[in-house]
Amino acid sequence: MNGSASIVQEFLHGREALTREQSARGFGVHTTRDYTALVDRLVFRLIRQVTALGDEGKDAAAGFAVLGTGSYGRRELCFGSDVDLMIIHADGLSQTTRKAIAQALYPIWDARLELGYTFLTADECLHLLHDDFSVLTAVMDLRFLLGSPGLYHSFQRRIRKDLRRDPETLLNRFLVYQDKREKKYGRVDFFLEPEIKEGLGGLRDLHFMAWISRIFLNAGQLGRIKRIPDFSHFGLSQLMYSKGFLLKVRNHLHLLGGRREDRLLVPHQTEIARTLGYHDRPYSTGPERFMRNIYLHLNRVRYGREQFLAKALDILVPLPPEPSPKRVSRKFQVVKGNLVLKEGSLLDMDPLVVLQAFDEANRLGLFLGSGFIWEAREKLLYEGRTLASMPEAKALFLSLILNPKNPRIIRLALEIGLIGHFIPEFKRIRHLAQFGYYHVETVDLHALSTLQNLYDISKGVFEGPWRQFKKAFDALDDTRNLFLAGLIHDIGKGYRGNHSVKGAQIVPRILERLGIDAEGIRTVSFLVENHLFLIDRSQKRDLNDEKTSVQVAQAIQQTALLNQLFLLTVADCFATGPAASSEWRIMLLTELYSKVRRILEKGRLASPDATIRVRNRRRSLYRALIRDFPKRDILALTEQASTRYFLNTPPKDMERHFRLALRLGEEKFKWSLEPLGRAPVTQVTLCTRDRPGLFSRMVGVFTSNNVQVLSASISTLKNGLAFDIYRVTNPVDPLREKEVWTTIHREAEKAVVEGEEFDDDLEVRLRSKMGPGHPGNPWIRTVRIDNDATDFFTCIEVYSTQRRGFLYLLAKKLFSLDLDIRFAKVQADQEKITGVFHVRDSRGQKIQDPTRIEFIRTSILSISS
Amino acid sequence: MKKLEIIIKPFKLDDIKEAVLQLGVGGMNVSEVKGFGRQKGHKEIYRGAEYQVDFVPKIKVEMVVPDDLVSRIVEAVKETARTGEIGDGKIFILPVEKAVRIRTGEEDEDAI
Repeated sequence: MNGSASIVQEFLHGREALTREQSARGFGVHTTRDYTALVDRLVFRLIRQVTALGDEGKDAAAGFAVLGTGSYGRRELCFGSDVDLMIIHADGLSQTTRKAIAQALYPIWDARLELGYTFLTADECLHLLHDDFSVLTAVMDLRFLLGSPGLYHSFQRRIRKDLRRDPETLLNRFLVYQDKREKKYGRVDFFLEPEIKEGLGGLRDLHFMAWISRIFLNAGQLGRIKRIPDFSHFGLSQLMYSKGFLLKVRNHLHLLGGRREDRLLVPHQTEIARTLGYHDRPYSTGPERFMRNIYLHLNRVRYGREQFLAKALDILVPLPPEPSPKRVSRKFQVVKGNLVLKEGSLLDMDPLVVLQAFDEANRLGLFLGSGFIWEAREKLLYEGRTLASMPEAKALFLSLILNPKNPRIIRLALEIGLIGHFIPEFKRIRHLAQFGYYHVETVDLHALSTLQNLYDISKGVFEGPWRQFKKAFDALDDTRNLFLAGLIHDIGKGYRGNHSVKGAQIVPRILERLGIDAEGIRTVSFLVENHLFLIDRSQKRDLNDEKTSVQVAQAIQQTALLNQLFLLTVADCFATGPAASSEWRIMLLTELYSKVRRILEKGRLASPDATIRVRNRRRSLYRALIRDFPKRDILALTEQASTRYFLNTPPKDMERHFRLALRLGEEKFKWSLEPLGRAPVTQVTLCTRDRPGLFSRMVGVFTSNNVQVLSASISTLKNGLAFDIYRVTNPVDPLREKEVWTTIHREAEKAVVEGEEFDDDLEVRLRSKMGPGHPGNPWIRTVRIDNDATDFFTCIEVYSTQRRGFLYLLAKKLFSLDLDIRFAKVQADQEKITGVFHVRDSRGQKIQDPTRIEFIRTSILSISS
Repeated sequence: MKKLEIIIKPFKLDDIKEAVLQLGVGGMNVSEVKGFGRQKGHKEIYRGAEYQVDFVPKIKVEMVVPDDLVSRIVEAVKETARTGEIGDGKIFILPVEKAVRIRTGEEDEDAI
């Protein structure tokens, strides 16, 4: 049809012109209206061609009415939007007319628009909207285009009447819809790449408010709600501004994608940022700045909707009035659950009243009246700076932050700029999004969530396996620093570089301003700088290795600090999002925490001077070796040795071990012999590949060559090397000394290489050597098995009267019990022998089974020569 | 083609990733899982708040590779993931019938 073709052409030209209009006000609300008008004209002209409607398109006698719905009905068409029509009739519409109208609309497809339409009677419509929420909302935004106005009005009246029959159920449907939206769009991926229309804080939130207003508050347009007293101060104009911004972005999105794309994918973010003129700046790129603006508006719309809904529900489903709390300060009173001034205007009062109100409302679990909020906002605009410098104000602010009982109040404090006045550094993280995965909120809201979680922990909200959070909290004497850290732990974001380090640099400035003492500043700085430390270690290091926990313990030093860091980490995880706070992740974190705590409580391993001593020894060891060996090898080997080794081994001996190990190469066995002072005692410093039974074989070799072991210190490295030190009596015959040592060396090497095969040979020779010992001395033995001293080993302590060969039998017994000795210290003299053994079972675990422990004890006690 | 399902201790993930990429593996999937073998969890005593840890956190790495890479990957994983202590993990090798790259439609060896 020629007529249609030219109508479509005209439309396309008009649309083209609109898309090129990049003026200052372009692409926002005005553009959508203009575009809607263009489409109106298109629809109008096409339908008029086949129907007998007058110039205005109105005919009371027409048996139908063409209505626009959805965004078309709202006059909010974006360039990629669908055009949705509803053609209502009073049941008398002939098939011919229907067909004609439908065909008349076909050219709309040629205009590259997605068209949707249905023919409905009022009855059919009512039927549908009871079951289908989307029909219900379509009906909310109906707009008459052409046909019979009378039909349209009576249609509207019927719908309205029907909807009023059961407002409660209807309201519920809206609330359920909202709930579903929250669940669907509250995920990480929708945070990073927001859905401008349907997502949280998107255009849908505004539609939602409009629907509620229209149906339940009798306000045909959203703007009319300001006539309702409760809404007189509602920040509608700001919301409308945000709407304009979002529509603008949506239009750009549609043009970019060439279709209805409402998801702000990352490539689009870059593209649109450029189009809209967001340039790079020193601390943030153009797209980052653009997205900050996006989040500003999304957050604002979302918060607006939350406040709106709270107020609306207050009106529609008012809770029974609670008795006013008795302890309200004289200048305030409670009206409908909100704190307000008893008389006068806040604008004439001392600015401190603002904080007093916040503090009191927070403590009493109340919110503030909207009039008061409006005045407070004004007050802060002009006198915020003054307020923030008043000491009493700072004290009140702290009292608010350190006891965040009412989340709505804390959020309000953020929204009206109260937090920003006391902590100006907060402005940098306002509306800032995190592009590391896992986060579902902007950094400012995340900070508040963390704070909230700390409060919840203190109230025992986290249950089940997370019960211990409360225990850790209760163990704290002072929680001030923890809450402060919770609020500002991410303050270093929005700069380049490591935000933990940057945050710790900013903390002193913030806390000094608030009047916090030096010790508090130190603690909070430490917490902020290390708030990712525990997570990192628990996931990236072997928790089964004592060293992991020791190093963490050495870094933290005090139990109180550990508890605070743990709680901050946990609160941060839960505030980040579900992936960051999965049970999996928290389990690992908690395991590390417990192990570290035990070390700090039980121990000398991580005490301040142990820490210093270990550090100094490592350093001097390094310096001694660096002349002869490459740095990488030294450091790698150092990493393998345990903290116990560093604490318990004299520096000279360590150097010997390291030299032997670094030269070991392919050899199996290396030792060095040193005479000790004037006594006939030699120190054997030994390095070899550890294998089960090594200790007992070494002792066996010495004993069978008539060399008595006076002391032994053995340590197994992570990489399987054994660092042993034996102090032994020299061979009896001084003339044959060298020969004996050679024999011992050969036999020891054989023992290491051959392992079990060597044992039988050894047994035979030993049996002839071992005598009954000193007659007359009663055989006293004590065996203590301690599983509590450390999380990593079972500790076996043996005290016994000395008998020749006893050490060999003991060592062999331990081997036969399938115990892996990781660390041991043995002392023997003529009278007695004592040994401390840190062992694990063959699978690398502590011995947990009580039966087994008992068996080990009795086995050792039963050793006899 | 074979699919490898590898269960390892969480802290070994980076090492495994490096080792396997060096052998020329095209890509992999990683998930946080919980499990136990003969280790069967253990009882943790956290200052009186004693509770039974039935499932221990592990990482599962999955990849589909050409047949000729399998044994080399298995060796590398064995060496890298091993600590010698219980709970080091397991490797499962499954046959793969077909593979398709969604974007281009490439199949089998070209898809991995």
